[in-house]
Amino acid sequence: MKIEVLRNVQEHNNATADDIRALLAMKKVCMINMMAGAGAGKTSLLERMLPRLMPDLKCAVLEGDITTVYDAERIAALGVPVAQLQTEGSCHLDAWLVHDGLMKMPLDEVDVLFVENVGNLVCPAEFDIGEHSRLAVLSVMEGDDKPAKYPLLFTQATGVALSKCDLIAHTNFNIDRAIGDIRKVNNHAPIYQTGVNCTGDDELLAWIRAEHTKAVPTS
Amino acid sequence: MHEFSLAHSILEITLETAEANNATSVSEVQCTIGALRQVVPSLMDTAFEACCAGTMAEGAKLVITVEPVKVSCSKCNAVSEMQEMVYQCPKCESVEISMSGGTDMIITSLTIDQENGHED
Repeated sequence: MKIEVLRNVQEHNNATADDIRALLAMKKVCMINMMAGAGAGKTSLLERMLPRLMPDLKCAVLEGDITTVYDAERIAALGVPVAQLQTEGSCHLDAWLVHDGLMKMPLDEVDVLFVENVGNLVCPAEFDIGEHSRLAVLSVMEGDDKPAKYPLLFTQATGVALSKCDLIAHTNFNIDRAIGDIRKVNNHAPIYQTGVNCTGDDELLAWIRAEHTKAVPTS
Repeated sequence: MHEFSLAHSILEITLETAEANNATSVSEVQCTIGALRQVVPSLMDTAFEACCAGTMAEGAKLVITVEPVKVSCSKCNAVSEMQEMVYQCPKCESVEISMSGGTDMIITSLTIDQENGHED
């Protein structure tokens, strides 16, 4: 016999993501999920941003990687609380893994928690991890065709950082094409052109502060 | 390879629902999956088959209906289904579009055998 079900395939993951949202609300923490392909410069972006945010916003980082603690070591060197989430082969973070990571964080002493997802333009976008904001990062080294080729990640982004823009003269990256393709799938997320000495770094920092204020309005 | 995670989630809900309905086996699982979800059907079949091994859903067929992305054109006002992820209005070819839908991931129905019953 045929029986009607009508249940969301990801309902268990999403229920844990809801638990995470409740925990973050209680602890007054804004969580930003950074998603990008491998080598887009997520960790380098954090290394530039964290020292500039830390004077007035207490930050922490959950580092998602298939293996190694390399990225966590780079963040720890800045004196920022960090926990490494090793997926042991899986290509994305899910809500359970992030929930485990949160248990290792001093959440009472955190204002903004960055989650650096596993480097992958496909799978991380599929999983709600209870974040407030999704920051998509795309480096100019990867090619201007990526927003069109991997639309879900850009569709769901609340902010987009184009990274390594200081190197754009050495690439064939057409920034108008990339931004145009992002705009076809997402007409609201602000897009920042970041890189060493790029003005987008300042604008991205202002956006993160605004996301924190939005997520934790009473702070 | 998020297909394995998704296949595992589909199996969990399938088994929960099947057990609640006193099923002895599951022969088919119907899902609706959005076109934006980047699910590769052949990988999904392989993943689902592997996950189901040794359970009452072993050998069950996974039937996926793709939920299309809707394109609203701000030039000709047409609302159409997106054709093969081409980011333009299929009617007037304008790129001044907004997109909606295509992100569903729902188990819609199961076909089961029950104790004291027969599959129809």
